[in-house]
Amino acid sequence: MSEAIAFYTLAVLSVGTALAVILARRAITAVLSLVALMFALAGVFVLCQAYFIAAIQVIVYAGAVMVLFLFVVMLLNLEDEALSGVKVWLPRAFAGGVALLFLAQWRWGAQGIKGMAIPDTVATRVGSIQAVGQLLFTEYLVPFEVASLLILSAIVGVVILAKKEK
Amino acid sequence: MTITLDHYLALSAVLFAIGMVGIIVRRNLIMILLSLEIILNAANLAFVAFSKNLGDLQGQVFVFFTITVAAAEVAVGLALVVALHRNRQDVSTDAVKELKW
Repeated sequence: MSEAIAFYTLAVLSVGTALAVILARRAITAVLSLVALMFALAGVFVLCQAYFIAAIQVIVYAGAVMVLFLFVVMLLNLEDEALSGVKVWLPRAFAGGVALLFLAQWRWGAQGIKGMAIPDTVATRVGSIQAVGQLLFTEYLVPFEVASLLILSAIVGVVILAKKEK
Repeated sequence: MTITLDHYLALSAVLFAIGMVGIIVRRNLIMILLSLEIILNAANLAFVAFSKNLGDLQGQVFVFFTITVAAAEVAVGLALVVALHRNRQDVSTDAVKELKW
């Protein structure tokens, strides 16, 4: 029961903040709403007993990536994007139709997945740091090291791209 | 009312649709990147939900790598935005429609 309350609260919060992100007039409002969305999703991860991933979401995603967004938004000092007018509403309605198609396909499309429904009573391995770390350092060791290479290449690319040309 | 896998997947689908609408409608490059982040988070949520449902932790390991890749991609994307703004003082998609200046 308390899980249901927590889930619905977090779900409403995450959908509301996601809508605030795409409908915001100022970029800074959108960035802060996305930070709120990250926190709401971290709460949902905790509900799924993925504690390590929830911590990583808050520390890395909300704490580093979104701060980077904030830096760039404040650096660029953008003007408010006008949201009124028919030119804006027509593609928005079309996009809304596409979104509804997605949702309808989910609800009535994949009957096969419902056919082989997986019971929810499978014993869950709690996503503690030890459990996920054990997987990371044994079975997924190569992707783990390759991820550090990826971050290094991203750093090099960022420095080259953002450097001022003499 | 118990929260089943379908609830988490429904939330993931709704967030994915919202992110898609954001990418299509917004004209500012930074807003498009933000909508992309919503989509990535929706995918992460689906991974974690299945990981909980199947009792397998590999979904969470994948989310770990997805967050890493998303961080790298955001860094490079924002560097592109900064370089674009430096050259043209405009980051709307109307300004970057053509490849040749």
